[in-house]
Amino acid sequence: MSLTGTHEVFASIDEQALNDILRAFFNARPRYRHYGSPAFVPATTVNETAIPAIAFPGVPGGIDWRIRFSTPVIDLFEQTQPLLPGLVLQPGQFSLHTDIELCVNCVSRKDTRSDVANARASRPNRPDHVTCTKLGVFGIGHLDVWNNPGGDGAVRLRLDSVELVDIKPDSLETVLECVIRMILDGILSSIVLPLKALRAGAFELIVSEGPEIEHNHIQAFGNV
Amino acid sequence: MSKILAAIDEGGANTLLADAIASIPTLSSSGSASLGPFSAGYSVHGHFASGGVDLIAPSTVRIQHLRFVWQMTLSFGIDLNDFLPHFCLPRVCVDIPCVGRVCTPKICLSWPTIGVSVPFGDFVEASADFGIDVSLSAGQWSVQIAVQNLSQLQFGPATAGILFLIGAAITPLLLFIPFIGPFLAGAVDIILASIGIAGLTGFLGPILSPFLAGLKVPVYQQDKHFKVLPSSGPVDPDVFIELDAVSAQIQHSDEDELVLSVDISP
Amino acid sequence: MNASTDTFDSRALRYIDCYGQRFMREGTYRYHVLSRQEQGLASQEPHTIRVCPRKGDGRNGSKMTQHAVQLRWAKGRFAGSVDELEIEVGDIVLWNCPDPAAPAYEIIGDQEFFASARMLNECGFTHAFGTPGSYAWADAHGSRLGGVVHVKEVACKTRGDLAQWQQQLSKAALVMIADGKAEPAEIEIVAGQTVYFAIVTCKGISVTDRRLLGTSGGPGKDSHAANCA
Repeated sequence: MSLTGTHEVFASIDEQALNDILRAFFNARPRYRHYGSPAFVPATTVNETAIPAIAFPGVPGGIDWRIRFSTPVIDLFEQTQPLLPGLVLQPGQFSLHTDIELCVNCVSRKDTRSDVANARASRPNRPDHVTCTKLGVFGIGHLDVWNNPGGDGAVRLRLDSVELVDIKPDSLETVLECVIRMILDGILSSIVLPLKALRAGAFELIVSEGPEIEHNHIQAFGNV
Repeated sequence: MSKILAAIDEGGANTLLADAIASIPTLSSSGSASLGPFSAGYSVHGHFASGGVDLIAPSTVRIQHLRFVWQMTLSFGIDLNDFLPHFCLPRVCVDIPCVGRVCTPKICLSWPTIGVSVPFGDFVEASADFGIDVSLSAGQWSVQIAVQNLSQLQFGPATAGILFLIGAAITPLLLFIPFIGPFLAGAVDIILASIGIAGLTGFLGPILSPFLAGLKVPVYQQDKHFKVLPSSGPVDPDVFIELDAVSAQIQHSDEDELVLSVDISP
Repeated sequence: MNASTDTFDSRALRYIDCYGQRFMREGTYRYHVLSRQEQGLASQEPHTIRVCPRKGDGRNGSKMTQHAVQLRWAKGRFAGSVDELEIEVGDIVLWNCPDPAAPAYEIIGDQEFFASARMLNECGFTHAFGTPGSYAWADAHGSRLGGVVHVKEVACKTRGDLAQWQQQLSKAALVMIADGKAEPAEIEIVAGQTVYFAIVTCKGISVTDRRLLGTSGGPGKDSHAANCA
């Protein structure tokens, strides 16, 4: 059976190569793995992305927090990496695994009379009471693709569901899974991989079928 | 090894190679060669047009009717003494009244050498077998097909008319030569016959053949340090991967395909 | 040669031209043969013509014998087949250089009458016309003398045509120039034929292609009656 089938051009990238590209992305632009509010990240750099503190009445300056995660590892259908119970990798889907570190600057309000008498100045926006937790995250997602008749196109990874490791009670796990899914999906959706890069610039390809996930590859068919 | 695969069938290869061949810039050469009995200088330039592509496993790309469209300016000198009869003005006598008979001596003439310059053009075709050549040079991967075998050249229809063009270029030059009038009618025919079609193709073949025999067509060219994403600001630099190895071959299954395989690393 | 150089000028003799001078008085006459570039640089020894008294009739009972001097061009100078020629009064000497590579030249004698560039008496200039056309000629020294030579095209298709043409070439056309008149002023020949311009007496003329003089067309209406300037 030919690679191109009924089309003129075929291009595919295996999951190991896809993970290499993602690793190259996160190595070049670490800020997409590191996010922090002003106490942690005063300004966005190549290494870190500044995000707002969680505003809340009575918390001057808001709640400072930080989230970091390891470079995600992608497994394209067919499944070759372990998944948590509750997640099933279906045809056309990918699974994702990453480790998240979530930190909060857990300060207390220093505005009692004794504090005023001691003239202790409160020091907002300084991460001096950091409390962190680490979580293992597994997710299932699909490809979001676009292409045009001119041969341009790109692929994004979109996360549909997430499972966390061992969170109790279940309701807390559900809340955290939702928050983390939204965060991870937001991050992944900002990573747009050009189709030309996924085929290392080989040939011209005006896509007529795909890109789609099949046999541990992302593949596309089309014409010159 | 993490791998990227790209494959193109014969239909796609026809389009790919037609575009690649058409984008090859105009080639040129100059020099001198034998045109029948003459040594002729030439300058030639031309471009390629692809023909039908046949992918043959494991590593042959055959292009039939590969065409080189060329324009040439041909320059050579014709020593007319080689083609016209030896001619002398006879001794001429005249009777001058009251003087007598006065005679001029016999004067033998030497025909001149005329310079001919003729522009013309046509195409030449051949069937060529290309091999696949993969190389890494100066940090760039290159996959190209290069001619390994070439069939006999077939000349276009205008080539046969080149002798007529040469004759048309010679004729006005002869008209200006004194005493040539009575010899003019056969002079051009004699000169062209000395060249002949064999002389013409024997001249053109060795000049044009190297263009086709030396043809290299690029199929894939990318930097080893391959840019996946360009920088989109001061906090979003370029993203690169390394193309560690590139291979290319023709694979045969239910159809023939040119398959490129690229190993990458972050 | 091509049409632009198929001109004629008795002041600048080429390989298809002859200059003839008849010597009517005894004496020793010296002359140089110089290319047109060598004017005023006559460093070589002159040639000599000794004219002796006439001893009797010339050949065939005529009172004139023709002597030929063939010139050759070598090492940047002209040399004659003879450096010293002894002739009799009334004889004619004819000069020709048959080398197509030789530059144009003139015969410069030590007497006014003896010069190819300015012909006076008892002399002549011949030219073989190789290309069809009409050639108007005039005197470069300013007289109103002139004429036209019509050269007809010849097409030889057979050996017989060629033989007939070769026979025509052996006949020259004669133009007599006397007292400022050319007779005939217009002549017709075939390509390859020779015209002999015989100067009987004149005040120093040349036979020059009008194209070289920057004028065109045939002689004026009154050229027959014009006097040499």
